[in-house]
Amino acid sequence: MKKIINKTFALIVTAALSFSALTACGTYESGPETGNESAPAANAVSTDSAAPSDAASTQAQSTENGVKAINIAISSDPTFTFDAIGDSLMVTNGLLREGLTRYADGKLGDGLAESYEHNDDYTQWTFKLRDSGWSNGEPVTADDWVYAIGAMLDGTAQLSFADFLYEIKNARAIYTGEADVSTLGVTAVDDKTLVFDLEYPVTYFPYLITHPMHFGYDREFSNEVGVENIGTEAEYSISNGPFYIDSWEHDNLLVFKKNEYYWNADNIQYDQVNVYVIPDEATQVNLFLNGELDVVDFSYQRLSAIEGAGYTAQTYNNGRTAYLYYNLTNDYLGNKYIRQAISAAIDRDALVNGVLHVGSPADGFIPVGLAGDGSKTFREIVGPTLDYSYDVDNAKALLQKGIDELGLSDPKDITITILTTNTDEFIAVSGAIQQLLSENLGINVEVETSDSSAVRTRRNAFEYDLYLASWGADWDDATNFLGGYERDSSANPALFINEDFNKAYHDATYSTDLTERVKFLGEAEKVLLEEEAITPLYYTGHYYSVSNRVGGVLRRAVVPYLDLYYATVN
Amino acid sequence: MRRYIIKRIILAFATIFVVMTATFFLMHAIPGTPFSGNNDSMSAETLAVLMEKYGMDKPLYKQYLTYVWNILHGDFGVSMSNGYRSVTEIILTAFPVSADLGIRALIFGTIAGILLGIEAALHRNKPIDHISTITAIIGISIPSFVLGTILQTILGLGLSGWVKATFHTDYQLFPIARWQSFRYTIIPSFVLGMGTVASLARLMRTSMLDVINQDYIRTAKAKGISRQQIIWKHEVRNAMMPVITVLGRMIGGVVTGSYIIESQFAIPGLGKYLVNSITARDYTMTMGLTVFYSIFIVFSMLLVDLLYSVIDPRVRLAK
Repeated sequence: MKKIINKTFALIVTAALSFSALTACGTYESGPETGNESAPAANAVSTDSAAPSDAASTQAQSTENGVKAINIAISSDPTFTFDAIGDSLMVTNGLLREGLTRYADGKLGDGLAESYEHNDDYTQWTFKLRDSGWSNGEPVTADDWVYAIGAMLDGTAQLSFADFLYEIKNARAIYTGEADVSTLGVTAVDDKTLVFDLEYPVTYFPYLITHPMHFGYDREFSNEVGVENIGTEAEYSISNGPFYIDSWEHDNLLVFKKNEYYWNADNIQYDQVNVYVIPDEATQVNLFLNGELDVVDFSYQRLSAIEGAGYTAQTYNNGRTAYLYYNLTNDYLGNKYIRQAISAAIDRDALVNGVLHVGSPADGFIPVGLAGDGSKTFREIVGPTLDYSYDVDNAKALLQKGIDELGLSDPKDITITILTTNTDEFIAVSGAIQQLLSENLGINVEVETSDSSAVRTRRNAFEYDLYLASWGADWDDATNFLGGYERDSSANPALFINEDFNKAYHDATYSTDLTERVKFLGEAEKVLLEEEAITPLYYTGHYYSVSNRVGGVLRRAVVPYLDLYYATVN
Repeated sequence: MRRYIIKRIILAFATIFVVMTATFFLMHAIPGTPFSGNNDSMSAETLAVLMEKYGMDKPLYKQYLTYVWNILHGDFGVSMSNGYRSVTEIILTAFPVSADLGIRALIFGTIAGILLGIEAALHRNKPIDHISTITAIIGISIPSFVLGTILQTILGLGLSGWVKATFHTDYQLFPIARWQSFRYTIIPSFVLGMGTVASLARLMRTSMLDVINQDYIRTAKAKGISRQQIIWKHEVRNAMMPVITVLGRMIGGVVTGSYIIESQFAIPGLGKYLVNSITARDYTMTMGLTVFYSIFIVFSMLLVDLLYSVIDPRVRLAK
């Protein structure tokens, strides 16, 4: 027995030893100089009485050593793939890699192009590049674009979504293997002159190329580290924007430092961005309340906690429209009256004010805030496309018409299923719609939710009746929303094909008058909605709050949703 | 003994192979592709090009053979939902963090659980026994994210905020989240360890009560051995056997990471990767993790079985 004791004891000791060893290895003290571990230096100086005490005490940390840092959080480890698509888009785009143009306060601002011009029919765009540099000191040249766009299309580099590039001459043919990459319509005339030849007129090209898929990449660096490694670690990443990734601990922290070779580096008002990976929203809010984060996005249920701590809650419109779309091959939903009845039976005010507590009821498909002709937004020019008033009597009358046309006797004969993704937002909204439709119309409504991948696969296989989703803008133009309905595309799984729509859309494409073009697009939108091919519900909105030490934070309807380009640190 | 071990190791590899094969075909049976989840507007043409590029247009059995071939060469592939990083590298970076958290939780849970169980058994139906019961009920019935939220708010935000305000310091007593130094590990390890405390306390109590009524305890008392000696040398030692068995199984579960606690406290561990990779239909990541987990769990159970026979000589391993 004594032996056994010794062995048990030895086990415990071994466990205890490995514990202490792990304690030593387990400390990750390699955080930024401005991190939470820094010595409590001159924090007594923080006398800003307006600021909550917690936020004020961080001031001392963040300006320590004279480093002005902004602390933000993202919910998962970012991806910086070659095509720059993925969750990194939401926040970090605009800080790391820069396009030829960029947004400035809702309008088009200065990017890496010093100037640009187009030919008469908008099929050729010529850009003059600025003197600017990559974070490794290499100059930004026209070849960066020739290389990056070519490498994505010919399969050398990773490209998850080629359709965005199809306006460029031969892009589609190259991607599908029918043409050689040398025929691509992107040409470097010299180091500073870049020409895009397009398949069809694109009047909004300067807006389109704010999307990171149209960004360049340095050929030499890419070949040096291997194109498959680009953006997987800090040492495999370079930037041509105001910041670069100085260090990256996966799932934990990224530190962005200033790119001294960037053309506008002098006008960036701070030195560093600490990007923490914090998956949980409640944790993000707690860190914000504790002064460890400067910007936080949150949902309605945390509004009182934020306001209770003395912070101002703000909302922004993120350029998304939530909408229902119909399986037009469904016996009931193929009938236009029934679709219109569904639309009229939904109380959009109740969805926005009673369920979501943020956003606004939709008066069209294109969300508010999306660009129009450059001086006015799309919605300002076009106005509301349809009257989406909540009218139960009208809904019932429309339903009766539909029932008569289909030769049914009772609303109870109709059973439809709403298919949607299992996010908090859609679970709540689909539940509310289920209730509204069964109470107001007397039809049977069921709800099915699953993860996005499964839901989309079912949708593409027509295994749905009603589909609840939201659509957001990838670039600042209405074609983002309407383009899919021109043809049989996965944006249009319901196979809505309409001559009037196609004519208006075609007219818009070939119109060189920017305001007239928007009006054509407005007509196309009106056809889409009058036919009730889709039923817009609301424009989504989000709550956010900014700490008192940071100013100039902009929120946008397109990526980057959080724009820190013009931010300042007090 | 040696033959037994060799047999068990062969069996272990067979188990891993079966798990791998089953996961491969189950993963591919779920609707969706790695490309469908994050992009609502991808055209069928684009999807076809991508499927071809990553060899997913081939018949499933061919994909399977390629996968097995690659695994035998130590190549787990790249994770499509994680910026095309190598699966092996992700596991090697994240697993040590999960293991660190898990071992802390396990050590806390084991020590606290066993002591609580012993005290409860020795003071049956006294206040300490009731406290032990209540702790066990709380530990089992309160989900870890609730406990985590409560502690994060009360200790991390409330108490630490009060300390900072009262003593005019920047010292964060209990950090809210992240994984930096010892202070950061206290709350998450406690929360993760609570489940272990609860189940071990109950198990230890039952086991102790069982031992206390054994004849040899009465004999020991009759011999006039001191109470302390009876408790520690005879009762506790013998009551430990079932606890060690359970512990072996717990290690695998606790050390491989917790989705909820790692998310809540922003700990860069492995826990979330499995859940997220399944949602994203990230086949390579799911497969890599499954193979890794099954290797880990199969061999830790083999180890426990071997240790069991070492600790208790009465247990004879099969010939």
